[in-house]
Amino acid sequence: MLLLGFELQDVLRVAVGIALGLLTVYRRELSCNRDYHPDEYDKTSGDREHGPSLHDRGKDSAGSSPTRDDHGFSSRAMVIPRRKSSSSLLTASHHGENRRVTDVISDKNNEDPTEELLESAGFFLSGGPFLHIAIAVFHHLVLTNFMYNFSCVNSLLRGFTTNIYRFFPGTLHQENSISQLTPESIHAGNETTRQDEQHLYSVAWNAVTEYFTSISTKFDRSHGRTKRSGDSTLSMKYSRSKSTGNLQQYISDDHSRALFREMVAMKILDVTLLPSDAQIVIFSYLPPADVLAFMCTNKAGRNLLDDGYVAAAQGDDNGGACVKNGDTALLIWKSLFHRDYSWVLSDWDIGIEAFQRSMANYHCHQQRQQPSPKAGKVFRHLLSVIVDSEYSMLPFGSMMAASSSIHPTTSMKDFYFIFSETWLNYTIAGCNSTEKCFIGLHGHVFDISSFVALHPGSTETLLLQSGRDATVFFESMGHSLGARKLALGMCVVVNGQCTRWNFTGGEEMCGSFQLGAGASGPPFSTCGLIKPKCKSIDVKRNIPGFLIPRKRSLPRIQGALHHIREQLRREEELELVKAARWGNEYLGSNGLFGGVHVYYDPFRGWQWWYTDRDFNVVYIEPTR
Amino acid sequence: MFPPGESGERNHCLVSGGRSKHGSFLLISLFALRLKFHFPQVSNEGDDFPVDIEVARMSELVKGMLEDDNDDEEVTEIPLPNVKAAVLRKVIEFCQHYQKEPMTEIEKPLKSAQMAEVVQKWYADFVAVEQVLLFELILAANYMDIKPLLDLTCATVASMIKGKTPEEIRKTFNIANDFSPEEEAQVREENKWCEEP
Repeated sequence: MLLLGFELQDVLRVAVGIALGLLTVYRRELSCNRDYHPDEYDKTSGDREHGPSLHDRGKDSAGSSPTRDDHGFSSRAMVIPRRKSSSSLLTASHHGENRRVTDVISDKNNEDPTEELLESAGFFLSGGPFLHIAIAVFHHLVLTNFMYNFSCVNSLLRGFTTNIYRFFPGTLHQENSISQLTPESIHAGNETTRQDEQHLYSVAWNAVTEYFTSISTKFDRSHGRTKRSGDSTLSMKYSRSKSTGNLQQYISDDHSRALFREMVAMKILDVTLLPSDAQIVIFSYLPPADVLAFMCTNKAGRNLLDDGYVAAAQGDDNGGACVKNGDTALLIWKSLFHRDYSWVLSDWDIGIEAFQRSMANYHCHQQRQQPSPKAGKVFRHLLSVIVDSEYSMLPFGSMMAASSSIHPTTSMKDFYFIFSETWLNYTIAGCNSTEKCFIGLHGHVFDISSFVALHPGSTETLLLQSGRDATVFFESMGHSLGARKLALGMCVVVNGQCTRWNFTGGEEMCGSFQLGAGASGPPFSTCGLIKPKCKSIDVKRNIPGFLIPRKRSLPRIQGALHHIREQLRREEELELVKAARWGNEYLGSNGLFGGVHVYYDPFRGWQWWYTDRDFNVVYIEPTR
Repeated sequence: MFPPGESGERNHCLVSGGRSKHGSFLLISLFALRLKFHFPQVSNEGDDFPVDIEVARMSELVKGMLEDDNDDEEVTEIPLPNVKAAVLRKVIEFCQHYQKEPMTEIEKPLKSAQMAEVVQKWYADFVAVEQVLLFELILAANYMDIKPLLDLTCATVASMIKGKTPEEIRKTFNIANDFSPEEEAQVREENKWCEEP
């Protein structure tokens, strides 16, 4: 009755939404619990090539090639591979709209959520809470229509989904396919809504996906206690209450339990046999160097901690027991990344900008590359760490969508070390204007925006050097002790590894300064990046040479994984040459203020930037 | 939640401290808001440890069971088949002390390999036990879902690893080196840590 006052279009929206819902239900009712894997599809199409059956002949003669290069057609066939009756039903009932239906579905299908969605739909619907679904879809549509008419759909929808997401952060990490899918599809759907309000199908899509979210979260709540796996501990807050999965693991894993008993009897205690939750906690207390050392002890340690090794060993189509190990490694490195670095990208505006810059260009450039599922997983985990509640949900949606098309690296461990090497130039790249001026010195980042004009050297010199690490230049200018002290007040990111708290070495020996009796260790943990204000570093500024050396010295270098540092160095040299050549060719010396700088974006690879004559920063994605 | 047919025995246990086929179990009297941890298998059989309900609630496992089983029964029995009596006693000791003196949060990553420098003395002493018991404690803490205890015990294991070479770690944990020489050279090379430029 609410719909009476609406235009025909609105009614159509509802109708199509309901029809889509019904279709899904119908299909699943008929074929409950059937698996629709892409490989299965491949198999059937392969069979077809050998000898087309009666049933398929019609399709083949219909004009599409047996390998199905035709995009739209193949995608629809993937969505509804068996039930041709359903697809014809769709075609028959929505003549005009059919093309757009296919478009929407195929769009989604590129990122493969449709398949997953239907998969999970079948999972939930085979039991058949049919009425609930219909009501929820209907409700949502009515609600959405209302909000459209009052043109506040965006804010409300966003708020709604945000709430869902916040309320059940754990769902992001569930192992079953539906919960991995849901935030992604919500936000993908949400974004579609924003971009084109007239797109009827995005509404339906939204409704359906949103409904599945609520179902899945309900499901998780009712079954979660036993179904939750160790995976859920990855949730950003590390809330223990969620991880009753240990219980399951502890009790059911009889074999490893027996093994453990044996070990105990032999007085061999193996960290690798502990439940993975405990392992994650253990290694989250260690600096990366020690984790690497543990990795070198034996094969089990390596399997436990080196996700790149595990992935390489089993290829991308991993299955079976090894997956657990690979996941634990990923989770351990993820927790280390979360501990040491993730706040830079989620809680520091410059880092957030850099991260958004990375995300924004995904779609344009990386589509063609074939992602591996493992890399997609790494990226999803990264996002869950980085993208915190401060973000609006819309970029998150597109990021999740991008996760299938992009791969920073296939190993979380490698990503950790790559990021630790490259974060500085990556985050502050291009920050060399008078309003926003950041500079890297001895591994720390300093915000000199307000100081640029006051600096005794010319403003231009500073702007030329800022936006990247300038330690060498800083030291070559021979700054005085007073200048160095002045700089401390502008520090915005402290790199724990580049601090010096004991001055037994000659570098910053200070005779009059005595550490207190209790201060035999460093004042805080010495790895990762630290906000200056949060760990009482103000006090530590009194320690001479704590942040930057007190007199002229070589740049402070943090520890690193050797082969990754070597590789990045080599690549950087090559990129610098390429960038300089490119700059000469296309810009000439007149078009540039300074040179073309390079930095490594841990999500995208090497990137260039330069400042043009009008002091605008230009970012370039080099073509490969 | 509990096997049927044991309700009679439950009351019996509370009164007389008799035997049960479970390894260890908790007896919880909801009326009195007191918990009794009962150890039939220890030598001095029949030891009862009266515990405040807040202490028992530190374990998410027990807490969940208390909530699930929120009827008016006078006594609740929670089987903990995987926790040895000696370990459970240690766990209770920890929980009781935690009520009196909450543990300072252990900084991540550890700033020192000495537990005494990262946490209060009582807790450092608490985990100064032999490795077998320490690992049992980790398992119990993980199973009973007691976060502070898990943190403490895991940090202790981490402190045993911290700052050591692979050889020293092997020695600490009695780990056999099952790499072939080539493999070891390779894994060393892959994971070489460099402090120098």
